[in-house]
Amino acid sequence: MNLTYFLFFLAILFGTLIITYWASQREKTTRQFYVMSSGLTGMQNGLAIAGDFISAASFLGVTGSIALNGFDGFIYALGFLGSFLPLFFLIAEPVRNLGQYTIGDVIYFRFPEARIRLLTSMSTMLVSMLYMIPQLVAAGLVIRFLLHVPYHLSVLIIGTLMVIYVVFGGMMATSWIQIVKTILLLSGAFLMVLILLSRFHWNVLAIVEQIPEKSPLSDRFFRPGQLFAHPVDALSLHLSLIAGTAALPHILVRFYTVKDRLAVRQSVLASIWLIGLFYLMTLILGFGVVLLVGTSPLVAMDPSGNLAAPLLADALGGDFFAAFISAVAFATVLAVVTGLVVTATTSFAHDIYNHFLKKGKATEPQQLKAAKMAALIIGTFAIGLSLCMQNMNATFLVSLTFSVAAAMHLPLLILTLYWKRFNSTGAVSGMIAGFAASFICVLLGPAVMDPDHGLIPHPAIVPLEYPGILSIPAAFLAAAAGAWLSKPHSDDARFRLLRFQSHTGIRLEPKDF
Amino acid sequence: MDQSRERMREALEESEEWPEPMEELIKKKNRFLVRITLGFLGVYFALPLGILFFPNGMALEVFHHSTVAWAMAFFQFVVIWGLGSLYYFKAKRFDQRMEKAAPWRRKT
Repeated sequence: MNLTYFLFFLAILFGTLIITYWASQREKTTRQFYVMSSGLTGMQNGLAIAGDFISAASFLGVTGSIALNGFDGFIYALGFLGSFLPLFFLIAEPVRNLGQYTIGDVIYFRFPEARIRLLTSMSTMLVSMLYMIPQLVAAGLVIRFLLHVPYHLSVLIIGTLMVIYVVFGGMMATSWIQIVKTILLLSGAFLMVLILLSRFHWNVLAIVEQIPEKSPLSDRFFRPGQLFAHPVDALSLHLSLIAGTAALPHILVRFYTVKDRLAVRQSVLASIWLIGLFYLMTLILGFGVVLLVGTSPLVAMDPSGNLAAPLLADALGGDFFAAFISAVAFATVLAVVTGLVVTATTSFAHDIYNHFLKKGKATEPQQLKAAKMAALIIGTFAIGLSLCMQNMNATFLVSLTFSVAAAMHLPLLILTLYWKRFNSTGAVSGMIAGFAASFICVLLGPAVMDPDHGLIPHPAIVPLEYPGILSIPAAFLAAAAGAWLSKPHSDDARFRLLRFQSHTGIRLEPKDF
Repeated sequence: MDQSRERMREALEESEEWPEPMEELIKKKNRFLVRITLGFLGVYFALPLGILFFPNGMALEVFHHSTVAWAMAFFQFVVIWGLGSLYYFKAKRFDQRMEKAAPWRRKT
């Protein structure tokens, strides 16, 4: 094992454990454990949200994707960034103003029924789990390459660490690990861009001019049509990304970690700027990979191009810099999976344990105990599944995550917050239809059905990698149909209350808040 | 504070439109939200739809390998940052107007 790499990984390990220890000294109540008593400032939360977005998929994946697919790789990144605006305009503030700890709170505010809370919580946990597994699998593969640790051991290390962070440090450890990681990542990427540009005498045009010579795509590098077999697939991907990313529960719960809606706005605005700048940097880095690493060595290491950033760092700054960037990539994965565990945990402990099973009467110590047990169980379960999936292609889980989030959460949130005629039957039918449509489309899609290397060796029936274009309208229709066809027991007074509270931020409910 | 919250709650639950200037402002704000969201989605989907329906037009070269598609992609960054900042300031204005219009004083 390379000693430089090892030392950097140890530094990340110690740094994160110190943060966790420091957080564990402060977390005594459930409110601190779930949302760190809303103690972050807008800028800090903006950094944390940016960190949640710049997951391993973006830092490792997008850089590699731009190097391999040119233009298509770049507009893929735009989907992640673009999803922020609908989130900002329509969802972020109402979620903060209506809920306490979870999305379940928000929906329950409008429809105070136990089944609604249960369903919302289950979908939160489902989406978080679905997202966690491909992250763990990818992390296992990357760490195996970088540290030469066997796949099983690397998944086990990351899985154990994420559980330790959540059990001992809760949301406070999660947030601060995320913030520190974002700063490291942004500065690392910025440094790479500077070194790269200096290599080419600060002449971006010179870089662009050389790409057609070096890329196997030649001139096509700059044109659309590399990543997607059919443009409809690209359109559907954009729809899934823009609707799905905005509805990922681990992003939404971040709005509870700040004190009011003004801080919510500051955090979203900060993260939009940070993420945008970051993606512009990945564009230059992707170009750099083509010129300095070359596409064939990149593909030889990993067919999906996930090792682009560490390889470029090696070409730019040698072993030491590559070790630093790899350690940052490791921290990225770690921080994102930790955020997912804490979201699933909070949803279980608050929605299912306290409100569903104990009818809201569980004591503080009981809830904390349930949360920590849940973190342990969720973590173990995710580690187990990831270990089984080493040799399977985990990409179908990514498309399933975004489809489910887009089709289950987005229609539910939009209609609950803005449609007067909506009722709980519509909410239930929308969620069930959204889940069923996503599940069926992914099952019949190219991620699962593929003549060569699919789980089902047969040509795909639904030829869309991301089926958002089918599943999102299906969920909206089912939700609207459910609301129209059932008895109109939408409660006007409750909707007025919701509108008032979501627009003014004055808490009339829950009263004990 | 608790008593005034309770009164506000009752008032909200009983009346259809309360308080009148508030209701107007919320409607205004919602209209603004719909417009800005749809406007953004229009700009956003112009890129994939353009590639889908006008592949040749999108491939026109503007400058050094940069095609119309690239120009639109970079333009999206400007739009996203611009609209985000616009909303931030507009929302602040709405907050102030709501506070003026409604019969309460914020304490939190």
